[in-house]
Amino acid sequence: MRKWFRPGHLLIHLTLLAGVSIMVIPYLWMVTLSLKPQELTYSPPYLFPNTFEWQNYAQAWQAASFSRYYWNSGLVTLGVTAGQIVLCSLAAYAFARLRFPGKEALFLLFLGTMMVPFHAILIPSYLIIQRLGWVDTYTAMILPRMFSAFGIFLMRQYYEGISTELDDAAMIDGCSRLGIWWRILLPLTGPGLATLGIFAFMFAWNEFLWPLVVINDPDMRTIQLGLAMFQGRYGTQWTLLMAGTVTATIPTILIFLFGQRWFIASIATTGLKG
Amino acid sequence: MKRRLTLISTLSVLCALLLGLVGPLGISAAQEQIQLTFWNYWDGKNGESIQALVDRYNEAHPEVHIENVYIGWGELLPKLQIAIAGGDTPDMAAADMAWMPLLANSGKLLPLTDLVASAAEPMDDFYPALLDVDTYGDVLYGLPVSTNNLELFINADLFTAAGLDPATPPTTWDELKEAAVACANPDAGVVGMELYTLPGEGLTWQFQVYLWQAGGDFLSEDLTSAAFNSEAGLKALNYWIDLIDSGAYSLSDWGLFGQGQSCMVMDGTWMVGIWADTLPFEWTTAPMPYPADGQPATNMGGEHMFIMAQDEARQQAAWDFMAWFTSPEIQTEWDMMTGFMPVRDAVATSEAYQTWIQDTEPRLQPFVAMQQYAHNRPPVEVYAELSDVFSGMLEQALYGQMSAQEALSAAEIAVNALLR
Repeated sequence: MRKWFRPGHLLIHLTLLAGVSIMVIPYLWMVTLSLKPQELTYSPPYLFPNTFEWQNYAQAWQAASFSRYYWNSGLVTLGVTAGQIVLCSLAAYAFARLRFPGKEALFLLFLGTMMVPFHAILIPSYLIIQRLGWVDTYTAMILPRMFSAFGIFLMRQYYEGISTELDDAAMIDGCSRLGIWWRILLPLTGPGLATLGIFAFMFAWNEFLWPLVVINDPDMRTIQLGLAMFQGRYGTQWTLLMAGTVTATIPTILIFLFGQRWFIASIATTGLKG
Repeated sequence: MKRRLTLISTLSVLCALLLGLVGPLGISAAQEQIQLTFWNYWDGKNGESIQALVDRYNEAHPEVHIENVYIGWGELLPKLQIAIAGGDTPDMAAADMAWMPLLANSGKLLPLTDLVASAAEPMDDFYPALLDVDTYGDVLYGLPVSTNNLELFINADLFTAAGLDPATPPTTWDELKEAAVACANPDAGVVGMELYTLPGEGLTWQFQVYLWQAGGDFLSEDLTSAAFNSEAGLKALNYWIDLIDSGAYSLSDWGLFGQGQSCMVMDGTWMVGIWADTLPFEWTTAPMPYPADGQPATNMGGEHMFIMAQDEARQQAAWDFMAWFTSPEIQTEWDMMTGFMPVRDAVATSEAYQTWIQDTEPRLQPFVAMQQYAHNRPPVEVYAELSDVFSGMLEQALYGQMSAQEALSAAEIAVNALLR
């Protein structure tokens, strides 16, 4: 018979519970603030919502062209995510499977770019975009973000975990290089692609500094730029800012919920069974 | 082969999709009309007001079209700096006066000295302390378009409960301390006079008021060395420490007055409009008390406007708008719409403005009356760093880790090092 109570488990659960509260309280706090009447913003704080001012959400939505910002963020995020999935996995395939001179050096160079802080290349990047005439375009927000050293590294690790026997077998059957990538490697690295996709999505959706720099036109602003507008010189509209933030976090939460099982799933080895 | 085609076509569809998404969007029709952009961080009611004025100007002047672009307060300076680096600046902008030294030294601001001198209507009644912020080496690079200062806010409910009369506010430092001690109620967590004691510009710019009131100055006149380590500086800092020791204030986060937990606070003009709508208790305002042997003084903020247009036609068009916006008539209207304070004497003393204040928000009166005693923070490029180290040292004195004299001496050394 299994014991339903173990002191050890109690300790583990208490620790986990503490961890959960640390994670959840900021979210709860955000939701509570977003549901407060505006005149109570300055009153003593409380953690659980006891007022439900749903019109804060409507007000936040109308305070700026938020539907436009959602559309912009959606397009940019989609473009960046799709671009990273395709381009990073193609590049990773080359680094994992092909043989060409300078491969290792090139890969290290790519990894090295991860160590350069973005702020250091912010102005030069902006100048390039400006000379290309891309200021205030989706191109400026999407194109430079369509590849990442992290994505290439991640996918290469996945590919290296898959036996080359599969490639050899496919090649004997007359499959091309691209065909191997498309038919053998991609289907086997679902979890990897999903992880990369989620990372790219989160990154693009939450990106602030780069859109801030390359976008001047109010109609091209993304959701993160829109949220910053609630913080003014002479006071911040906290209830509206929080209502806007809650709506802005919903897509990331959804993506995470649906992508969670991919995160946990391990590298596919199913192809070698039997 | 067929499968390979599917693969290639799938890829090309993906690529096409991406390219379609990223296709350039900005299409600007060639027009003879001059298109100008105007960046500022005015939001809410202030944003609506500037938009209304710009719309009206556009309607009356079909030869120009001004696009009013709102950029958040936190984002405007970095955006201006990047625009300057890229040489692709807006034609006009209005920015925090604290940023003017940085912007004026960028070399991208149009000198206005001659334009102001030859203006059709005289422009000599702008407050000199405000123009100081725009003047570098005798050249004028901007004009103030709004200002504000710090005065005393009083929680009338707490005052009355403590047996004090909000209609006769304290006028000297001694009276301020007396009232604060009488009104403080530690059991209920209520302090008498809220002070800004966290490091940062909030502390520095509050403290400067006390320093000036005591007869001191923050930097030397030529802005090359610290001047606060003086008798006046010591008097001001000791007054704060005395407020803490006497129980008039106990060290805590900023924001107690808004929570109904402080009887008094020194805060800015802009809070009149914000608190008028949000505070659930009665409150009033008064001129900031000053020492019996000192002088009235306050600190000021606000926005200054400048021109960054590149070619002559645009510069002229931008100046035309700027001259219109800063004219007494439009400024009077602007101040009534926003609650900002007049930057020109012609506005402050006009009957229209005075009547408006009495009728709509008498609580603004102390701010308008005291604007003539407002000082500006020293217009040096390193001001932000300077303010950080200064406030850091003062905090140590307020928390009892240094004596007042030690803190001022240490701050003097650090500030002088930054100015060198």
